[in-house]
Amino acid sequence: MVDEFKVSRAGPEDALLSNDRRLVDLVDALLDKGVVIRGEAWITVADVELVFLGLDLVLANPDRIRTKGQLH
Amino acid sequence: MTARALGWCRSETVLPPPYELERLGRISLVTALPEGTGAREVLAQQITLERLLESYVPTNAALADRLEDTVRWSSGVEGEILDRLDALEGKTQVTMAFEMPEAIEPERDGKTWLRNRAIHLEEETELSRQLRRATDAILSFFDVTRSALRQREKNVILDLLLPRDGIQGTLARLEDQARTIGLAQLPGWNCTIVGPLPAYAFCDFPDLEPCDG
Repeated sequence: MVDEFKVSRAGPEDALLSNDRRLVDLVDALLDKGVVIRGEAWITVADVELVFLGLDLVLANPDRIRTKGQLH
Repeated sequence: MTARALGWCRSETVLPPPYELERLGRISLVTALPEGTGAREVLAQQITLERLLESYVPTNAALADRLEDTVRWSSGVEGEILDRLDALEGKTQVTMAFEMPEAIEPERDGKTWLRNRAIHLEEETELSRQLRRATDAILSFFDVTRSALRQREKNVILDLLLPRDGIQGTLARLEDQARTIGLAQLPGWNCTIVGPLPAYAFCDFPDLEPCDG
């Protein structure tokens, strides 16, 4: 284990455009958040729709929904 | 209606193109970009939008709701959205990602991994304690609302809501504090700070009942 502590800082645009793994991971973490009202997703493979997922008018962040087990 | 909903602001707001405003009583729904736009492009547009507004409740950038659903839902929860706009007035989000140290020695095979599993769990628990103590110490210097720590693989994410005024100076001080305290308390960790951002992590509506679709 390296006993250093490294800090880096970036503006949001730099984070979005960056290929740096740490910034990419942080931006991915932002995509978990924000208001979701009604989620719908088709899982598609080779243009064939396989599964439809509907989250009827969900009123919370996705991480909260998962913890409360409210996924339909 | 084929535009993408980016979030809500107060109805008296005026925005330049490409943003459009759908007035819904005392709030307005901000739209731009065609439906089906990729999540990162939506995120980029929301970041730009956040700079134009004193207060703004963003939608999730990755999960696209149908605009008609968003409009219908918004009309029924105007008061709650207004309360949230009040709470976010003059505030902005900063997100910190703490990357855990690498394991002391990589496992060579499954048998070794199984044997060392309990040790790893203890290590992770201790690392979490370390991080909680260190983040408490870092944030004690700031006027901040914070989220709980949430783990995403090797990263532990912490979202902060900070005053927007003087945010660049605040970010510099946050970086300094993180470096000072991290050197003493978080050896082997890496910390990445990104901001200012729309307040994605502070837009939950946990008290609302689901509406009929």
